[in-house]
Amino acid sequence: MNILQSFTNVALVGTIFLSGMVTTGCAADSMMKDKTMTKEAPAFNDLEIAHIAYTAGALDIRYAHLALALSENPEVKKFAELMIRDHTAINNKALALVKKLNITPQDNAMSQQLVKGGEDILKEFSQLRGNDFSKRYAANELGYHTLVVKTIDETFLKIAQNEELKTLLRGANKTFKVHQGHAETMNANAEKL
Amino acid sequence: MTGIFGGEVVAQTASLPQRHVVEIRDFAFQPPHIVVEPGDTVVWINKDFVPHFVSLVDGKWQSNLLEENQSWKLLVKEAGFFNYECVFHPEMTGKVISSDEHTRTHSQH
Ligand SMILES: [Cu+2]
Repeated sequence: MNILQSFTNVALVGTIFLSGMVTTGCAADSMMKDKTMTKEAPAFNDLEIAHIAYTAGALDIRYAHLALALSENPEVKKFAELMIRDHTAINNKALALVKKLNITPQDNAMSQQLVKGGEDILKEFSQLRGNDFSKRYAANELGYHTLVVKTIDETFLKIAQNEELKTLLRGANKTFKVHQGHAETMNANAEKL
Repeated sequence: MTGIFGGEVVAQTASLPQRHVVEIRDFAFQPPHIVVEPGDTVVWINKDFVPHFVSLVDGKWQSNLLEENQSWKLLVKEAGFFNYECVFHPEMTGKVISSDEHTRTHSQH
């Protein structure tokens, strides 16, 4: 299995997540540094974290719908159904929390780049058919979940303030780790296609 | 209370059907193995955010899709070993061991 390739495949999204981690890691001295290095990105507040998490889930649901439309591979289809079911449940849970806390998630640069990067990936997916699609989708899902899991564990859970948001993120990340495991298997099988 | 039903008689017959609860939590069945007697019921309750779907490995019985806090009840009619899994997350497995040897009656008296 080629993990590096998977990461390259989600390069756009990866860069966004990783830059988010880097800038939050040195938020205190980011003001001192060159603007081009830090892009003025501050650590995320809870409203932004909620927005990013929801956006990432919604994006994965869009990938999955495309997979159901374009793939004939039973394993890919089953995985896509799992993504739609689980990410929908988690995003509904997030919406319920938003309502309960009476807050409005905040759009932000990372959410916007996620959407933009996602649009490019969807465009690329839509050109692919058969095994080419399955391989690309499987690699993307593996890279995507790997990065999401890492970002939640190493960044969001460390900087989030609200306990209920943290509980939601922890529960969601248990699910994403399971997805990551499924994606590893799917990707290993796709590489043999 | 016992006087109304004749407590002695009840105590000497085979044990009454029991209700066993298996929680689905953190992508696992807890407890993963349960021992029951035919006539008992097993209730699975989903405590995860995401839906699960309990199914005997050979498909002989299946739950409905269980969303968070939804439960499903199975009446165990026969003795045997029943391996089950989650259809959505097949790495989740559990076992119902149904024995009609009255192990429970002995252990309780
Ligand atoms: Cu499950």
